[in-house]
Amino acid sequence: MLVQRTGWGKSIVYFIAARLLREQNGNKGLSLLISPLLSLMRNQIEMAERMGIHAETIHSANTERWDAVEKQLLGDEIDLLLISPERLANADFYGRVLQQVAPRILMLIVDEAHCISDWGHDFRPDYRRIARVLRLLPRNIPVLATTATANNRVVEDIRQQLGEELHIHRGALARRSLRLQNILLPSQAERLAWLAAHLDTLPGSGIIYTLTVADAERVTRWLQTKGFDVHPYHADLENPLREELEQKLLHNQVKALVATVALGMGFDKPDLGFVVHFQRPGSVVHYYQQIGRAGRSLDSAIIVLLGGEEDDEVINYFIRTAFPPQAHTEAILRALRQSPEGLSIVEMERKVNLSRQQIDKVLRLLSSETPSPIVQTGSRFVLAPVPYSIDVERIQKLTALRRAEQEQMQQYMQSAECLMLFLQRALDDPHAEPCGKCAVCIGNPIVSPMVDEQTVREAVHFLRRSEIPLEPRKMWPSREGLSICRGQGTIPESLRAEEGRALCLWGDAGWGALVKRGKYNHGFYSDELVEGIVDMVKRWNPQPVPQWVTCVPSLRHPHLVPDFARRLAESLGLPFVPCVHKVRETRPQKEMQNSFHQVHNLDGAFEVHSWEGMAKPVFLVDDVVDSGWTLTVIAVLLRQAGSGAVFPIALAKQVLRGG
Amino acid sequence: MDALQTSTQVATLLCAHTGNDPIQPLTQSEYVRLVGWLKDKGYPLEELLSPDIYLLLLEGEEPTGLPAERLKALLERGAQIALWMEKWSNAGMWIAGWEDAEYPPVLHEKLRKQAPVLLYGFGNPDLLQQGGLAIVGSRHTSENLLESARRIANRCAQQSWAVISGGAKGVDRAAMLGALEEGGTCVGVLAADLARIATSYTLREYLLSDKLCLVSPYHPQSGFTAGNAMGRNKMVYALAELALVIACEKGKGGTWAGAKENLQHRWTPLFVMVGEDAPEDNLALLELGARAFPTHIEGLLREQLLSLVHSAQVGQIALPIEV
Ligand SMILES: [Zn+2]
Repeated sequence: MLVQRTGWGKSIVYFIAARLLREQNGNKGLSLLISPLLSLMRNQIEMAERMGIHAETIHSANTERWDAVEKQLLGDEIDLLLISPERLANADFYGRVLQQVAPRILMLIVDEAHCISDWGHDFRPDYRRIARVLRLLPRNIPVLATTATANNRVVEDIRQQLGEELHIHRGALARRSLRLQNILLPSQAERLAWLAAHLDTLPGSGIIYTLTVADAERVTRWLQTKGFDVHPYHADLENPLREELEQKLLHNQVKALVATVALGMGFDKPDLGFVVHFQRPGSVVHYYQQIGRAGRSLDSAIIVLLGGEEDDEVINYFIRTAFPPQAHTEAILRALRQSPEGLSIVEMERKVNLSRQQIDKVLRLLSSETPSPIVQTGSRFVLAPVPYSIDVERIQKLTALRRAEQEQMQQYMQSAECLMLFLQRALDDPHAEPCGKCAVCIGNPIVSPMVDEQTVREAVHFLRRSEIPLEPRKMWPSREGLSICRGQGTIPESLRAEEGRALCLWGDAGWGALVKRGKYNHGFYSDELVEGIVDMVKRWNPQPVPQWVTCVPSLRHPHLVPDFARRLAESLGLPFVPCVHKVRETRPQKEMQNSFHQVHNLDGAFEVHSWEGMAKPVFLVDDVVDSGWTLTVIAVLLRQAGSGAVFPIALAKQVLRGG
Repeated sequence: MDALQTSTQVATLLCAHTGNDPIQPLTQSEYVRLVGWLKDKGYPLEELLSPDIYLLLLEGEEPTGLPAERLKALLERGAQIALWMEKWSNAGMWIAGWEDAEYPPVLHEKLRKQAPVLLYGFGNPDLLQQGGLAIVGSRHTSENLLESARRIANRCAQQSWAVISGGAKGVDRAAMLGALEEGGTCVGVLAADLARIATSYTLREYLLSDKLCLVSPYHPQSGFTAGNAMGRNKMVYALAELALVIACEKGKGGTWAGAKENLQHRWTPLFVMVGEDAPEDNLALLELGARAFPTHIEGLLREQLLSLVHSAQVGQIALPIEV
């Protein structure tokens, strides 16, 4: 195992090893490189080519190349095949391709090997499988594991998993060119203002990291309105676009990418001039890996960590949801115990009230166990004949570790000693020493922490105009018919809602706090929010222009939303017609965890009483949107009762997602 | 599952079928030949994992008749074998080679060169070394005979005597469930589909409670062939202390062939059901040396049957004098 900082040249080690092994073997056979991220692979393949090594990759985003690559594989023309751990675990890929070439694998290379360890900062269940495969390998197949970030605990854990025969080569981690500074600016508006004021002073092109996708989008839009050439980068973007954005950054054609962790491991730009964190990451290992992308070939690169008031809330959410709650795991296992034929994921959705994501999380956790209580055959999961109880202790230990890491980052934010020294110590670097160039060492800020009030006000204003589109649902969730328009398959376009708008993200720094207060403290949404929506409608200008307003009824809070909708209608100068009625109490939608249960919870719960003016387009108002099924179902009922186009409006949309 | 011991690892590389094997894995006899030659030369099997093995393989080409290229290719498929093995081993499957503690010595003693190179199994491997009564019979049998099989298995269970079954439909399954449902232990020796059967709903609890061991000399997803069935039968007889044929068809089918092979090799003393429910063809086994299963039997089944076996042997020797 090779532990060397990013940019040290680990890939050259395995390129040469792969080439030599193949030459020794009469130019037959290949090495298999397992690596978690596609962005990494693109760079590596280019580098291999420059070294005269034929490397290829097969992954979910290059299906058009598969046939060609497969042909080359079978023709034994490839030195090095790069695949993701997920590909390796994919049954179809394994059966069709890998089994064909697997007899000729001369060496296995596991990149980002810290993922093998539970203690690593981004443990991936698929890596557990890799560790098991490595344990089963005979000794005539060499294995090379590489990582840039592994503290002692992680290294020891990997040694335990892979066996005592593991040799560890470890180098120093510090990068001399990095100039570190931390700036605490509690509100998002202040941090937006800081970016607008100082982005220009940062050298070259760089990366601005955010914790969530929504933040990456917002920060980008703000900076764009301020005239900066920046783009968002996160897991929701299509691969070709991500590739294009990486290229732009590589060639200094943008000032910065505003990115989540998706712009990750192995992205290699030697002259990256700066890294700014808009929010504080969850661990030192994470943080160091992200800032380690800067200044590889430069004398100086600027690293700023902005800390804010929402950091801990977001990190806490990630920690809380990292492992599925025990009840979810038990529900899945119970459902499997009751199913002699096993269950597909779709069948699980019906049997247990869990979202697809929650089910996936449970399945990933269970498959990562050694041995695993479940096994997949085709598309079905069945119980394996192994004893199993949920490893509560492991989960508690890991959660405690995540908390400790979070605390360490909080301390780092406040550190009174050399910032680089702090990071190196936290990473067990034996070569740790004061850097002499961070803001603490020189006793002065490197970049001014000041923001001017005018820009802060503009940022608040911006946040208050950051409405979120509400995409209409197009498909019913199940084959089983609902009573609503024999609901199955596609929702006919004539019955679908139009694209709507939410005023803000739940709890954000613009309107979010006001909506939260209205819902939980006052039981009343203020006139300020009415004005906010009126402005939003002006910017939005939906066509055909809605001529009346109605709202989502509730038996639990009969006045909250109708009262708000009435005031909104008044301000818009439109009639308010509460023609949607709730005829049956439902459980709160937020307790319904997947589409199947969400829609069934609503089926038959509403009635629309038609009125003479209803053929005109309408605004359908609700307060907080989560899955969007309530708006979808009511839109269908309105259209069936003869209404015109239905434009949903919500006060807030609930989202909190990294990646 | 932990790393295999080296000799088992080598056996897996050379002999395991994965369902997709561009190079033909070694047959039983080829493997025996190779191991014999290495032993004569004084090379341990583990040597085959050394880096410079090709010259040794070339040296062995003539005496073993095994091309060095083929052996080399098989020895190099470690990644494929590991990837393939991981899935089922993580679902609880174990693999035992000749030198593993899980491998029952009785297979070496009785089957010698035909002792399977690899055993794939789920559940408690200790059960393989506890003897037991093999209860065999064809897939399609009358309800009455299935009931007999179940009853006898029940009785074995009550008397803490293990049942060995072929794990197929019909008599095999009746015997297996007869033992398990009565709280007894059972070894199911499978000719095919080990993985599917081991994850089946009915058997999971018994595997978990260590009452059942499912074992096969064939890879966990192999399909059924007549050849596999015969290989399986050998193991059923070899693992058992005594065997009982519930029903067979004279000159036809696996039960007949297996019973006949057992009698020829004297792997284990053989009883056969006789009486009104039993098919007339069963009687043909008596002519080949099987004993009639007593219609009424009191007390401990194992001891009674063993004493019958002993007295018959004594009787055979004494026979000419009496006449
Ligand atoms: Zn310093």
